[in-house]
Amino acid sequence: MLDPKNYTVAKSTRTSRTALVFIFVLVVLLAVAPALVSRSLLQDLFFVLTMIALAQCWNLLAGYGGLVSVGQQAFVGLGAYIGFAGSILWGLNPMLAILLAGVVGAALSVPTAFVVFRLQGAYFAIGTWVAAEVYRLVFAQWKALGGGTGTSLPSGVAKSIAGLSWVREGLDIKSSAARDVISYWIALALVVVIVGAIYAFLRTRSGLALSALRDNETAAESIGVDTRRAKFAVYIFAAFGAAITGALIFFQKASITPQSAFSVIDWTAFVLFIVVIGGIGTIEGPIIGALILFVLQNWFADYGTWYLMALGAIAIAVMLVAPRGIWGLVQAKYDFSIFPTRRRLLGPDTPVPDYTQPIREMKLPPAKGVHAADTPLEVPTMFDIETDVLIIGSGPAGGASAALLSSYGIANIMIEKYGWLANTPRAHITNQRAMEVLRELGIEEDAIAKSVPQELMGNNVFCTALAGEEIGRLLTWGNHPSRKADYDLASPCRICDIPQTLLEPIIVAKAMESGTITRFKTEYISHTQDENGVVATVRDRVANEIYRIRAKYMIGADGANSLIAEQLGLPMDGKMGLEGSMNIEFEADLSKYVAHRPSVLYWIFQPGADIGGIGAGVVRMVRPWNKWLSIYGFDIKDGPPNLSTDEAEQIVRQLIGDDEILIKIGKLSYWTINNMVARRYAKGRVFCMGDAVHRHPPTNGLGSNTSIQDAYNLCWKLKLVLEGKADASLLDTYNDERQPVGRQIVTRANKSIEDYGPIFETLGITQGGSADDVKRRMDSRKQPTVEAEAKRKALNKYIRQKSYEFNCHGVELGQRYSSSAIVSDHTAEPEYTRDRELYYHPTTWPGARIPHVWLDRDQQSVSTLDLVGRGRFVLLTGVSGAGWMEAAARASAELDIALDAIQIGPGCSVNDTFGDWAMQSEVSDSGMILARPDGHVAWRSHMLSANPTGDLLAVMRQILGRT
Amino acid sequence: MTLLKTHALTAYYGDFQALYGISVHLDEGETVSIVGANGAGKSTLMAALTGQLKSAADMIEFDDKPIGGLRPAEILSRGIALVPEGRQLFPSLSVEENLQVGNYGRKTRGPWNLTRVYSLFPILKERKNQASTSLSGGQQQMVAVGRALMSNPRLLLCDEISLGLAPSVIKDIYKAMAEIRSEGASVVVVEQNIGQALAASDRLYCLLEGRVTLTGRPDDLTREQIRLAYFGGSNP
Amino acid sequence: MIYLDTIIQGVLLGGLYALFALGLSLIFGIMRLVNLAHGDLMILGAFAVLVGVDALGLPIPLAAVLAGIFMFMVGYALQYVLLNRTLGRDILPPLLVTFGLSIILQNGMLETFSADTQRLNMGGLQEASISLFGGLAIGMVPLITFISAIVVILFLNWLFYSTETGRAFRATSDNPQIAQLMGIDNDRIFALAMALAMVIVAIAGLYLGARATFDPLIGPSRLIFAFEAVIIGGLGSFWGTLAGGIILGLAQTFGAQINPEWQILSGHIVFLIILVIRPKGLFPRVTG
Repeated sequence: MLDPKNYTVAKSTRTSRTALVFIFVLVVLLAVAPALVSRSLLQDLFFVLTMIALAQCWNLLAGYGGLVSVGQQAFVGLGAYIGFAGSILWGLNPMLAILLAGVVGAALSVPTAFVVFRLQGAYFAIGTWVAAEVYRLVFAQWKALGGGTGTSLPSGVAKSIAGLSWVREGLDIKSSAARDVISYWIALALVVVIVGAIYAFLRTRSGLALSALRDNETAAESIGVDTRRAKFAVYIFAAFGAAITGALIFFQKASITPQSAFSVIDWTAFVLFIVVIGGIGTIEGPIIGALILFVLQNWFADYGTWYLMALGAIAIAVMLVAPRGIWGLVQAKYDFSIFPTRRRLLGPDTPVPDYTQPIREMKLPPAKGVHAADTPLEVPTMFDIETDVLIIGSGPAGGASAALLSSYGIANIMIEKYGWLANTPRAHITNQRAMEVLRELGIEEDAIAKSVPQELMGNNVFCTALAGEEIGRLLTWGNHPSRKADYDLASPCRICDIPQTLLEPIIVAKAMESGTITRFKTEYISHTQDENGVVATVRDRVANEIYRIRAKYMIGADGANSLIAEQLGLPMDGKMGLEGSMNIEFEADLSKYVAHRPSVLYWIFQPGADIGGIGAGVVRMVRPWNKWLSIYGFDIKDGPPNLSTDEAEQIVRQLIGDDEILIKIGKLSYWTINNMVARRYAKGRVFCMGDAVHRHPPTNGLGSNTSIQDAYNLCWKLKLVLEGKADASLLDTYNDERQPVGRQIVTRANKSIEDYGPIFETLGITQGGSADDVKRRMDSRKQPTVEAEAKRKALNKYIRQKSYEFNCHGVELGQRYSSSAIVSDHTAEPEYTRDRELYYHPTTWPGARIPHVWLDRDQQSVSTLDLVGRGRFVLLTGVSGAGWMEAAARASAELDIALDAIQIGPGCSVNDTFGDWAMQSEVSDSGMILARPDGHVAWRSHMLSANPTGDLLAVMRQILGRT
Repeated sequence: MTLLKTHALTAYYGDFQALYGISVHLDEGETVSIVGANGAGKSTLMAALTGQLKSAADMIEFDDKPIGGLRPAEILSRGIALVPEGRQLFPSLSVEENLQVGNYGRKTRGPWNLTRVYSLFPILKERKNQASTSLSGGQQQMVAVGRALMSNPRLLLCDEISLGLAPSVIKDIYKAMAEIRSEGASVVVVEQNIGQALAASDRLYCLLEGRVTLTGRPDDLTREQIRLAYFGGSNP
Repeated sequence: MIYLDTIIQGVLLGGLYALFALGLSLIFGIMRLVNLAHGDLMILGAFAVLVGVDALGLPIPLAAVLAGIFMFMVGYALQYVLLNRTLGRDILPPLLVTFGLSIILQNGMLETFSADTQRLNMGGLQEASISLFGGLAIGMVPLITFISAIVVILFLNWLFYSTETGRAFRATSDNPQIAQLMGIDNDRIFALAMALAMVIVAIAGLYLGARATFDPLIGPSRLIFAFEAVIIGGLGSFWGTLAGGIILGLAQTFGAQINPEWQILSGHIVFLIILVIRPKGLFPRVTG
């Protein structure tokens, strides 16, 4: 495979650099020529120079811009007339008049372009000719300048040009000769400026784009060249050049007529010949052509018509036989350029490409060793498409991957089996860490706009029914005052509730807007991979056609029944289908039961609600307070009960505890409680994430959050590997870092279900019997007896225990990674001073996420998390850390990787106004913290080391897997 | 008797080699199918056979005479007609005019003329004065086939005639093919749709990356063989 | 009354311009080639008739026929030998080659015939006219020119839509590659088309020479009129070209009414206005 490290792009060659030196010497010689040569030779040189100027402009227009005009004489004549008008009629100094001519030429080229650009190709050419004719006819009406017979420049006006007397005295020549000298110098300057400007422009990216335009306009457009603007700009420039040159030429001639000013032969035919014979599409060509024309003119002009016929014949012959002209032959044979504008790709042993060949459309054979594993003879009938990363699945994991990769500039395609995104509310708790990722993507505000805020989420009510008795309540999701501080301190973002139906479109829209190609109704079938990449076979369900997508890497985010995980044979721990559960969506206005105790989850403890399911009956708020989803269990051994709408309504009424209230039942879906995690998340070039590798119940609200974190962890690594900045071994750290997290949350979520058991038991619901029996047992805790008191205490304890489900801040935010992409700083991991699941412990210990503090930049508050991430490494240091700043710059250059460095402190771009960073950074002012693109600390140093650059390089090399 | 024979046929697009020594043959009255994936070389082979792509003279023999490198018009006059991939009707011409243009370069007496083509594809007669591009895909395919038939070719080359058509329409087209065969034409069918190719032909060639990877009678070939030849490589 | 006369003059002038334009329209329609030497070839045609009359002493109709045959051969050879090699995706080669050709033709004719203005003598026909009501008169030559334009258009339409050659023309214009597969030799078809265009050009030259003076250098200005007529009328239809010529003629005659110096300019201006408002022309035929 081509290794980008071995290739560089060169803009000049040694020969071209030598030639440029010669050119410079030549220009100097030409400048002093007036002192050295005869007047007639000077006039000849003037002719050559002005023809070169005109030819370069025409070459830019036709040779590079693809606009073949045979009407540039319009601007030559226009320039000449304005020049004359300026100096004769408006009393301007001739130099100024000449400049004005250029400006007017450029200005009038705009409406002219507006008209002629409506034509294409050869018709455009004739259109420009018509335009020139119009100009001629109009100017022939200008009586003040002689109308149809023209006029001449009064000698006083001619002499008034700047510098004339200086030249006349200095060289001891007549006024008219001095005028020739000045004209000559202006011509020389004009040529140098025009050639220089064109050359400089063609070496820029826009200039290269212009070259693309000439060769193949459609191809140029397809890679994003704005052809209309490019052509327009070129046309204006050429008009400007032609007008200024025209003004100069006729100033030197000192007389003008409409026929001579707008002559097709002089200003188009000769220019055409110069460019074609010299070499179109090169800067050197017109120069050579002008010299050749000059020679021919001198020797053969006396032959009048024969001379012109010969010129015509030569042009025809050159066009047929050597279309690139003389310089083109030289370039082809010797690969030599004085003004090189092509960029050359220099590789280990690639031959120099031949840019003169047109682009060929070729159908290339398919790659070797690739076939669709288990497809019966439904052979691919459509085309293959290619990308860098193929993402299967458009859920939170897939969507986040797509959005992140696109924001990193990595080409990706996301396919989704169905025609749209999530159509059931599913995941909803969006914790702070997930919001941080959305914040980085720039869609945090969009999510907040659609979400229910933290303060409406947290009254976790445990009751016998919504309308029934409230058994207990827990403030959750950081709503308890003591927990609120924790949550607020931990992140710039706030936890919120937004159903998957609303969140997925936001993420996917962002992804697509940033460049992800999404194909809906496209079903993944199978894949193969080898050392070159992955080839997935997919089915377009609309056309019912099978085709293949080739990618360098594939992300399997295809959910809890992942086909990809199965095909890869990822080893799994745990079991699926432990319990049965069902979701019943319904609409009802429950404000009177909930508005005074707003929450996203209401837990119902009643007979029947303890069977299967997630431990209790749930009424979940989807939209406050009229859209709901109730979760109820069933015995998995019996299979899904396939309830009718009435039966579903029955259950819902039971949970609500109101027989009268208006209820509208929506979708029903059946699912299972799973307790499964993959032991390995990836195989070769395929990486699984999300529910595909960690399958657990919705308790703890960790599902989509963890999925998004999976994406956040992997995507920056893919970016660096694809850009050639990191070794592929970096990708292994995805599994090393995320798999333990997956295991942790699967365990945690399942445990949270178990924690309901004691509540049911203490309440006496599980002991069976009639409804009256159950009620009796439940009421027993209200007695003043000792047993009752014990029951009350127990119930309290078990409800408090649910904090492990609803206030599990440590699990939400406190993941610490350990892998080869984290470099130890040889300090011990800081102690957990409180329960590590319930409480987040901020630290900058390598592997942990950078703690959030508010800093100040340009009078705006900015979080530490805003400084890091975004696809690049960031080094944070203090006021005394200039050494690290320099090390970062060096390391960045040496490794050719994006590594930003920020100093925090007074007098720096970012200020620690609250002093919180100083408290939390855990390093001194001369120390540093190196943050990975996913915001986790890769390494830190307590103070400035002896060799900061060396240390930093070593650390980066280890992380990137580069030697 | 052998009607068409290629000898280690090679073909290039500029510097890029597309065919690496294809040797196929076809007897008079036979129908041979050529299958392969995109880019396997099927259309390149058609281009070489019809003179659109230059090849050495003796690499292609038709009726025992070398025809490699001849101009397309010349090859048509000898009796090879192509139904091009993607149909490629003439938009400025009506249905009937498209058919009429088919025998511009070869006016030989034979079973196929306007009347006969209309009886094979009656729907075309109804629409004979309509612009050819206003027809449905299947009808356009009929026009393309009819156009090729008008020159009464001895060898009819059909390049992907089922491309982009609905299954019922494909059936109709292939039914017509059966009738064409019965009139004595020898046919080469190029297809990506293997099922159709197997059903319609006497013999099959499979191409992969510009080479023949398999040949034989449909009945003698197993699915596995075909799949291997189509995709190449070995099973994991 | 003046207006009616102006209108009639303009319409008849349009007939001449249509003749100028039909050859251009034909060539562009079939092979997407714009021949910048088109005007000069027309002058060549006029000179060919002149040679037939002056040097060979033939009566005008015979000289015209011979000139037609001559131009047919010139066109065929030109296309087959030279212009076929310039056809392709790039627009530069045909443009530059025909431009060079234009220069060669102009100067060649200059050398051969000198820069003197010439006129074709059609006997009394050039003074003859038909009288209409109210003192209006229509010149015979303009009328015959107009009728010839219509005859040419009828012929072209018949050729294109009712003959096998016409089908071959249209098929080649649609898709030259597939046309080849039908046995249509592109090189020969193009040469035939150019030859045909040259015959029309010869006819145009004949009427040009009869109506006004001509000299070797006026080719390009006639090309511009032809081009304007084609664009105004719209590509793809011969009747459209006639309409374009008529509109151009009318623009010029009305312009001349206002101020004789403005005749040509008003034609250009009307052309530019139509170009801005309807770039596809007034009666384009949309092909598939």
